[in-house]
Amino acid sequence: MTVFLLSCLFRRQVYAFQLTRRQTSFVPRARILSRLYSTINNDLMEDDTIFALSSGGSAAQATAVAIIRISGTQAPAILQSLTTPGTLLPKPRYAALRKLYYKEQPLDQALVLYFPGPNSFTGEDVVELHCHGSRAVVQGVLEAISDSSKLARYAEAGEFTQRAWRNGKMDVLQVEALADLLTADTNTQRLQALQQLEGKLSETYQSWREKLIAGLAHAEAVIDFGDDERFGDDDFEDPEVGRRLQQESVWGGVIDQMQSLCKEMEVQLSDQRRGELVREGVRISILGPPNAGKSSLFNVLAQRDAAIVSDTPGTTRDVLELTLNLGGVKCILQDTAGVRTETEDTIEREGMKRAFAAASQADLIVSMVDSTDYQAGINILNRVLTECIRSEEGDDDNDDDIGVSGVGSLTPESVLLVRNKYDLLSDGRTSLDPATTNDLAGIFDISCVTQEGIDHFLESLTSLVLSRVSGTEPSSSSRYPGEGALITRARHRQHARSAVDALNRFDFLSRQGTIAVDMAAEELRLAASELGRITGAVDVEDVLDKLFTDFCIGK
Amino acid sequence: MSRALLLRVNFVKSFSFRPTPLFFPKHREFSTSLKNQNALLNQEYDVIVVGGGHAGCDAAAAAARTGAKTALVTQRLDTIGELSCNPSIGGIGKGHLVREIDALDGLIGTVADEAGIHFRVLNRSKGPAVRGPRAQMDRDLYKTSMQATLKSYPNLHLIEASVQDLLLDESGSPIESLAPMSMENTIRVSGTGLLGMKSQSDDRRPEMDKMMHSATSATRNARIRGVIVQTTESENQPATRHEIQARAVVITTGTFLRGVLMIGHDRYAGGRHLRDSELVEPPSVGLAHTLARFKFPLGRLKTGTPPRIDGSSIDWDACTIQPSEVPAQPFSHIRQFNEEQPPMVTAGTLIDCYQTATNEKTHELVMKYEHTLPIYDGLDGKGNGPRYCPSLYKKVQRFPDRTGHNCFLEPEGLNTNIVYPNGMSGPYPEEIQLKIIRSMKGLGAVDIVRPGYDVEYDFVNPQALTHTLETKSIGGLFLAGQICGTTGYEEAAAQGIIAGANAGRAAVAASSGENAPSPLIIGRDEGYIGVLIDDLVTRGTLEPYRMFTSRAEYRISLRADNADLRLTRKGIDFGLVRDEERISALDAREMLIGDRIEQLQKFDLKVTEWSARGGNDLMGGAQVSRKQGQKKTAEEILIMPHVTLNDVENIMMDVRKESAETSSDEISFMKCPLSVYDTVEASVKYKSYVRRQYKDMDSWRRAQGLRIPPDVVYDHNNLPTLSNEELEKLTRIRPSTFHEASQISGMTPQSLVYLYHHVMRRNRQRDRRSNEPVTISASS
Repeated sequence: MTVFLLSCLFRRQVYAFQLTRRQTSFVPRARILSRLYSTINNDLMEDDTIFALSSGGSAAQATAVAIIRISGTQAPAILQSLTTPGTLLPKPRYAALRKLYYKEQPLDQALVLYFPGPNSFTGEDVVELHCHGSRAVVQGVLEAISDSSKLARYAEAGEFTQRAWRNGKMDVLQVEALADLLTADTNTQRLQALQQLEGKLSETYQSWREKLIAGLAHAEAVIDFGDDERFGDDDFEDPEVGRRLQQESVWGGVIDQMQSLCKEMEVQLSDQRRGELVREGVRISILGPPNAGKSSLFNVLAQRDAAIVSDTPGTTRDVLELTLNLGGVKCILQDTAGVRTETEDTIEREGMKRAFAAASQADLIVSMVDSTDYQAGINILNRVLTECIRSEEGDDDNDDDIGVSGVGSLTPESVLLVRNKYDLLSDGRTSLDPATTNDLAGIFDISCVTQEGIDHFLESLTSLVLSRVSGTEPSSSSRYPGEGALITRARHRQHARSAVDALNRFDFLSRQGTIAVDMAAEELRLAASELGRITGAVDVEDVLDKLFTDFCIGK
Repeated sequence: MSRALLLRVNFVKSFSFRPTPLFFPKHREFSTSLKNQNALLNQEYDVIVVGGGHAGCDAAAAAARTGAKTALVTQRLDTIGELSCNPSIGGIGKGHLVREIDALDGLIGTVADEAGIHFRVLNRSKGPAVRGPRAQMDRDLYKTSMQATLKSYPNLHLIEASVQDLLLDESGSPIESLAPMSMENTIRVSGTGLLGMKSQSDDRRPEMDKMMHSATSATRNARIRGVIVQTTESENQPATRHEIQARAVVITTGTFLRGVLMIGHDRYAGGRHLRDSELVEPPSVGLAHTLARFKFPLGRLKTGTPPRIDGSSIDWDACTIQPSEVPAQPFSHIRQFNEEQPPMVTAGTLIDCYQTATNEKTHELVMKYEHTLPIYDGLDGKGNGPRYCPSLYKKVQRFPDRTGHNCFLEPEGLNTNIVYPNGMSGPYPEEIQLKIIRSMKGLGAVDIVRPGYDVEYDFVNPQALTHTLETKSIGGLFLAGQICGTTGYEEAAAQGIIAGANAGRAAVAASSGENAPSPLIIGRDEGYIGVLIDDLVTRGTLEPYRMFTSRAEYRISLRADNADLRLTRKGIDFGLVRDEERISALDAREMLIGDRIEQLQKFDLKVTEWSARGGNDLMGGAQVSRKQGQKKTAEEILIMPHVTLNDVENIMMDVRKESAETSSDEISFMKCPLSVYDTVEASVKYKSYVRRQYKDMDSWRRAQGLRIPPDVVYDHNNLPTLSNEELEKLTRIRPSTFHEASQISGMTPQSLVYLYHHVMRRNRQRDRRSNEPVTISASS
């Protein structure tokens, strides 16, 4: 046995070696490990029947009902082994009440469902046991299943979905959508994921690709057969005229079609990342000098909002995060270390650095000042904000991977100015400096102590968040903010952007007459392959590897 | 009339044509080599090439170049190098192939230069990547030049005989015993199964499987040993059968496999007509049967050739003239590097082509006499012909809105009046062909010399071949040319050179007792030859396969101008290129090109100055004016579509003269051949695309390395989401890599991913199994 384990370990190393060699430096280590992990685990027989507790909570936590799902060829046999001998399988897709036994002792009275493949979620034979959710029942049933068949084992993270995908029950975009749906915190996220799950996005990308391929086919015909038809071989006195005539004879309506396709794609790309904001959450950073009351506001919002879903684990000690539901949109609120002009403390300096970093990644910034020390606060904030916005622009210029990371769209319009400690002002408001506050999204006077002005601030923040994900156009007909956004992941954006870039180069090249027809065709080829990558035509493995590791066991 | 043709009236009078299966006479004058024929028949060879068409010629020469003792066996030595259909070589995609074959020291390019009487680069107005050199041949010159080349070729012997069958087997017993034996076993076993009890037959199934397996693997292990030939009968010598021993055999029998010729409703056996004659060369029936017996998947294709017309009866003035380009662009890299013009260009004996077109009356006739067209075997009587080189009937039928199709009138040589009307194939009865052709402008009084005809023939599904063009079932047997389902001289020659080289290398290694050599395979990223062969052996073909530039993913890199840079080094490494002149030409070219590009990179000017000197439009107009202060190198300027290397170098020279401290020697550029100039320009213009394609090629190479185990079972159990069609294709083709699988027509990307998962899972399971015994033995 020891030797067996050792040989497994050895093989692990071999895998690690091969993978690292092939992937080299551009793949993050975590990804290599995750690949390694899935490789090793899949190694334990992928044809196995798998089972897992698929409902929420854990085996150690009692719920009213717990659903255990079994998928694979052994699933019906396992169900039969849990019932008294001679008991028939339930009618496919009909619920039936069964007493479950293990070693002749009753386990539970459960509702059972049987979905013979391929008409099931995974495409394999699936059995669902809806048991009572006590710890004793769930653990008992799980043990019974794992004992009943040597071929059954507990499922890996995301393995049910992986099988569904492998068996052709869903495409890449749909798998992504399911992942989103399963992790949806808010209404908006749920609706967006459902839209994608329906295949609406796949259709759009597919139709774009078809248009491109039609244009490409025209170009290929001109190249391979054009000489017989004598396209553009004639010399013209005025090269401009000749070029225009050539262009017409070579491309016909293709240039216009590609131009309108390009516009259509650009509209989707210039969506202010609405889809990604809905999916990932709108990042709101509270920024300000020390003692302005940032943490107080953070706490006030945390307490007041009933829809706090979770505090994100792994948060660095100096930037605190919590998830808020504002108007149905997921928001990530960040409390940062106070910023001031000078400090000797290295730890404080590091905290400020991280505050900067958080702010430059944020979609909205709540900049807080102490009303009683207003001007000093404003000065510091000004410096910080210009810094953030500038670094933003700098990034844009030499950023090859457009839209890859969660780079925020930071402009003065995404900054809210909050003056705290309003209650401490005896002589009314300080006059505002119009130059500084000109373009800001809003100015609020609040008091975290008396809670004065908090409601108004929260309403404004919510409507700002909503307008951010709803886009600029009036959307009275839409069912939820952000509807119609096509791009829900940075991956989609990257490929769509490359396709648009190629189309823009095509537009230039196709107007250069016949001489550039091959290069123009090359751009169309590129654009088509980039779009193919979104729907999973190419490079699908990389996407999926990343994706399946995001799933929880049993989903 | 101002016709610049150098036609002498040496015109073969039209036969009163009566299509009969009249084969060529047995006694002929071309028998100079017959004296030593017997000596040749009794020798052993490394490689035997069957057939003397374009595939056969380049296969034989390639095999001989690898050092293999080679024999080319053909029915008639005097038809070696015959251009059976159109009198031209090259074109878009096809010209690329010829240049690549030449880069590997093949024959077709140099011979075409020798025989060329009209040169033209197609797509000249388009980008360099899609320009295709093309030349029209004098049929006689081509044939004689090819024959002369082969006759004096080292290591190569020419044998006139008809190949009847193949000699096969490893053990030395003839092949006939192999196939019947496996049949016998099958029958016996299934017989017992049927007679026994039901439970017993289940028990016996593994046994039967084992037998079947051994039978099939015996077939798979068959090896070629040589060929059985029949010599042609002559006055003093009757036909005799001989066995010629060889380590490898390349079959290039073109349209001869069970060939049937058709004019109207007349059908008669034959591979092709002898040129401008009613005489017919006999089909290869024996070979077809042998291939069928070995379960090669055979299909039926057709192709057609138009009537030949009498040039003296054409009203040339009514047609549009299309003169040859002078200077001409030759196919041969050596010739091009030496700036040597093809001999007929130097001699000034070039011909002009003319252009006319069909009209509504033509189309009316074409449709009216539809019922007189042959009924074919393929595609339910419709015939499976080349979609992209369609018969006139197909064109009219497919594009009913067109009121005319181009027709190019191509004179067939310097000493003949016969003209080839390109685009006019259609095997109507002769009198209808005449009606149709006379309906066209300039051809109102034209005479037909020989009517056009179609040929329908067997081809082997090329998926039965590996990338070396060796068959998967018989070791040492190679196929090349039309027999693999292609159409076109260039496609045939391209396969020939690869099949010949691999056959030669393998045979030479075997005869000296060495291990099997590494196969010569051209990648899809290295050349059109690679694209062609990869397409054929992985996807097969449903119609006669013709090369197009759109088939090449890496089109921008695979240009006619850089074929030598892409392939000659590889040719040297594989022993296929030994010509010192070619090698030194390549060295010189590489050096000159590198130097030229370096100069372009070093020289820069302000954008405004480039514009001022070269003109705003030339330098990209508005694009440039935005970044006025910037400097740009000459290389960056040349990237603009309309800027030529000449424009840029002229400006560079002016600037250097103005700063005239340097001597005039250094100012002017080293004079270099036009071919260098072309390659420099193209390399610079396509630089960014090529860089991107390199990245693509890299990932393709990695994907290509992923292998699919040969014993994958393609059924619904393993791959439930694949369509029946996909499963059937996978079962038939048995792709060995994912790349091959991806090239199967109709395979969706999603299906590929499922297949990928299936294979990965299987591999892991197999690894585990193979590890288990190790574990046990270690723990005991």
